[in-house]
Amino acid sequence: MSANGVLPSRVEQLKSRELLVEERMHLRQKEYVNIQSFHFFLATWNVNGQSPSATESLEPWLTACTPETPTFYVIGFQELDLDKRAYVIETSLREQEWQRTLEAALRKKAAYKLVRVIRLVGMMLLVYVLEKHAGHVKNVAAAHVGTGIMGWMGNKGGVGIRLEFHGSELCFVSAHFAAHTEEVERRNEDFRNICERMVFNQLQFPKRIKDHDIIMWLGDFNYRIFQLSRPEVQQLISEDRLADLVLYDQLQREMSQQKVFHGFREGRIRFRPTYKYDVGTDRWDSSEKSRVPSWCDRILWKAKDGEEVRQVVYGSAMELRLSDHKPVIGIFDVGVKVVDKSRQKKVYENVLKEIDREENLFIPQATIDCNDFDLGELTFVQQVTRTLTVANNGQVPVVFEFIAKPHSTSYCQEWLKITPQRSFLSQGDVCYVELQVYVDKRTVAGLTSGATTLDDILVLHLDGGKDFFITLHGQYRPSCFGIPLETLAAMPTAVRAPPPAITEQTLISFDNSPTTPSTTSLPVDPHRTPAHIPVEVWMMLRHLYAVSSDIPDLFLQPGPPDEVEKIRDHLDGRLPLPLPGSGHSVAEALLLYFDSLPDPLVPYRLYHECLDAGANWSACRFVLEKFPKAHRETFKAFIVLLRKLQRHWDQHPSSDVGTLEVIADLVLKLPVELSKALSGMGQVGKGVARQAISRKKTAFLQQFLINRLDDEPIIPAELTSPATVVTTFPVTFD
Amino acid sequence: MAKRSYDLLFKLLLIGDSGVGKTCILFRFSDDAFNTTFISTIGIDFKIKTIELKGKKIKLQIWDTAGQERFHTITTSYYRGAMGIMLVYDITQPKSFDNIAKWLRNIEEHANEDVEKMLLGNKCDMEDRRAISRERGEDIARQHGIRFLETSAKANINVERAFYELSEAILDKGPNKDKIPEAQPLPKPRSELSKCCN
Repeated sequence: MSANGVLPSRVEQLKSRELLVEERMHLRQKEYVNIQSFHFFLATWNVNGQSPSATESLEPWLTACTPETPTFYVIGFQELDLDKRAYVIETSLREQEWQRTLEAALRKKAAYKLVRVIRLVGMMLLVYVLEKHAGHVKNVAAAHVGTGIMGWMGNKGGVGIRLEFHGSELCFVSAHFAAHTEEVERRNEDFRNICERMVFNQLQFPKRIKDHDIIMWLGDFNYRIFQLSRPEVQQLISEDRLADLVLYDQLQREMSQQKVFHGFREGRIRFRPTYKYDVGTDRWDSSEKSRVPSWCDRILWKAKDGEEVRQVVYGSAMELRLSDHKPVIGIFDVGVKVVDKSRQKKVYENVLKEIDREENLFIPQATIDCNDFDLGELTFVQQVTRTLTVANNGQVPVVFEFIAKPHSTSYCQEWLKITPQRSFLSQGDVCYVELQVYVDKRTVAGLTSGATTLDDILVLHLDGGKDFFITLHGQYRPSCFGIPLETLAAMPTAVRAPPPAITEQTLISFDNSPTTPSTTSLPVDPHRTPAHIPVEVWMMLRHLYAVSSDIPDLFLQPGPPDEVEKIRDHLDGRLPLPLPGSGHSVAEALLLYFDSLPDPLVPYRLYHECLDAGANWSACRFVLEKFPKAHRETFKAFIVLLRKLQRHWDQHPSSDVGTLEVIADLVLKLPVELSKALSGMGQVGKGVARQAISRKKTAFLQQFLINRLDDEPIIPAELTSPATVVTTFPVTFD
Repeated sequence: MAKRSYDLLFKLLLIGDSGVGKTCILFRFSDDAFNTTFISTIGIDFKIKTIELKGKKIKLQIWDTAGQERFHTITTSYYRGAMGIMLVYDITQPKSFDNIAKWLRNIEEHANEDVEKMLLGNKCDMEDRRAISRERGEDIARQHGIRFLETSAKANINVERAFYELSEAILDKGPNKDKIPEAQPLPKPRSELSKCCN
């Protein structure tokens, strides 16, 4: 089917439904998750390129500060390796040293499993999960972004790990921003850079930092205390006035102006600045640079609406002294969406139902106002029109089309014409389809004989939707058209009684009628028609013989519309002459009668013989003897008429052009199998063959026009006396 | 949540005499509703319904056909491509039961050879007007080696079960390339119905 090409393939349809299901499930997540709180331990430390100390335990930093057993440990390092070779070398001894040391410390707490580790030069991030929860961690991915030398080297930048825990998506970023007090804008830039450039590509659908439910940043962001001198800072610290000191923190200032970490939160700082100490001590930097103490090392978080993150601890571990930074810790209670399987299944089933309902709704729909048309009674060349209303009452545009039934090559019977056969309907639109029934010369013989009926079932198909069956039924009222010559010649009565309105009048006034007034069937005296010629044909021949001699283009030019219908009714009622309508129309009706015959005037079986006889008069006479009687007598009478017309053509040669050819073509009809053979030929060959055949046909007729048979019928030159004929039909004489 | 929402696509067909309740059965299954007004189906219509069977998501495309005798030559052309056919009769209408043999012949002539069949005796809620005993239904089903259920679209008896059992029978037949979603347009009811001009 043509329109199938427009529809997405089955696979595409199913895939798009799959995505739809996923999206709906995500939107309805609240209905099937419980929020369950888990302990998250975050820690960050700039280790200043040092190896783990053999004597200094990590316990105060990682395990001693909480009695709980955190579900996750998220640990970030900066300046893990200050060796310049670490810029280019993939592996770092330090990485392994620190990882081992960490794991040894964690092991004392509980059994943890490394979820993922990522390192970029000196920046390293590790995520550990309690082993018993490891099964709920999915879709782990890591990424790094360098923002250091030349804007991309790994001496500065960030490393990130994202994961899904139960139904929540979490992202951790450990970063090291640009140093020095005056580089505030550079640090802000580093943050933006990492946000923009960090992509977790290993996933089916890559994600960025912002795509997560909960985002946590930890690291040495390098924001400093500003506008205060070192003595002032030390004064405030010694007086434990940290809240006053925070007012001079660059990061808090930048955040309040929404220049960095927009939407993030930080816990209240209750620990001393973590930078810069003399290594191995808790003393402030005594070098000649004499740095102003600052909170370089921080932990911040951001949660989507409705997510629960509560910070329990925010502090530093003063006991660790191997670096010029103190490590920082943040302990959180994080509300994680834990799926309730049975509720999830219910929602899932609901979602499927919902999508089914929508898909059913989006199947093209339409209504029709009638699926059973009664065409009533109709006869030859009578047009009956019915209107089918197709309305698009669905949710999508509709393409409808009448399609062929099985074992049928056409979508409707030959006597039916459907306009339009195919059309497009916008939502809410209506289309009026015309069903025109018209019995013409092609279909009349079949309907007359009963081989076919005025019944049809149409299949109206909606593209991608349903099919309607539409039934049509009517009765064919026989007319003389389509009735074989022999049958018609043998009929003692008219095909049809005249219409009641004119019956009485015409019968009473009928000239020489032998019938009684009560009989309605025989207004024309069949005894006055020569034997074997149908009354109806004789009526037309007589009419033309009497009136036609000075009508130009007879048989070539059709009469006014509707006149053939009036002539048909007149003939079918065998009403008195003259026939209604112009001579052109009567000539048209005569040819139409010949053209509608199941077997033409020259029978199909004698077609070739007639063509071959053309040049030879006695051969022509011989083949005429083989005609069935009705065909022979009618042929002879027709020749008499033509001979009279030919005298007229001789006077007006222009009228003659083609007339005989046209008549010859209808009288000597090409048998079906031959016309098929002709249509198989090329254009040129066809034309040549046609011309040759046409010459032979006219030659055959010419023989009869030139020569004369002894027993030709005599057609009266006058119609019935006009004075005695009363007719209700308008009669025109051209 | 399952990774894939749809594993398979089955095309099912409802056939049987006019008025036995084919459309009502489909309406009950797809919309879980029932309508008492009888509107004869003059044509072919379908609905979509997704079910889960043995861990697989199966999209059913269920075709409802006109039961009237005068449309039989047309409706049989929709049989091809159906993987399951439900033949429905009305337990209160002996004529619809007598016609089972004729419908089965239609299936034989026009449907795929391996089509799964199921016989449904509908309107089983109307005990007082029952004309065909359950045993007679079971007997004829056994003779022809097909599944049988008495159903009621009105009282919602066995309708879901019928579709699940028929789908399961198709699923159990093992891998069949027709069932796997492949790069093919949605199945059309007829390959022989083609567009043609007069």
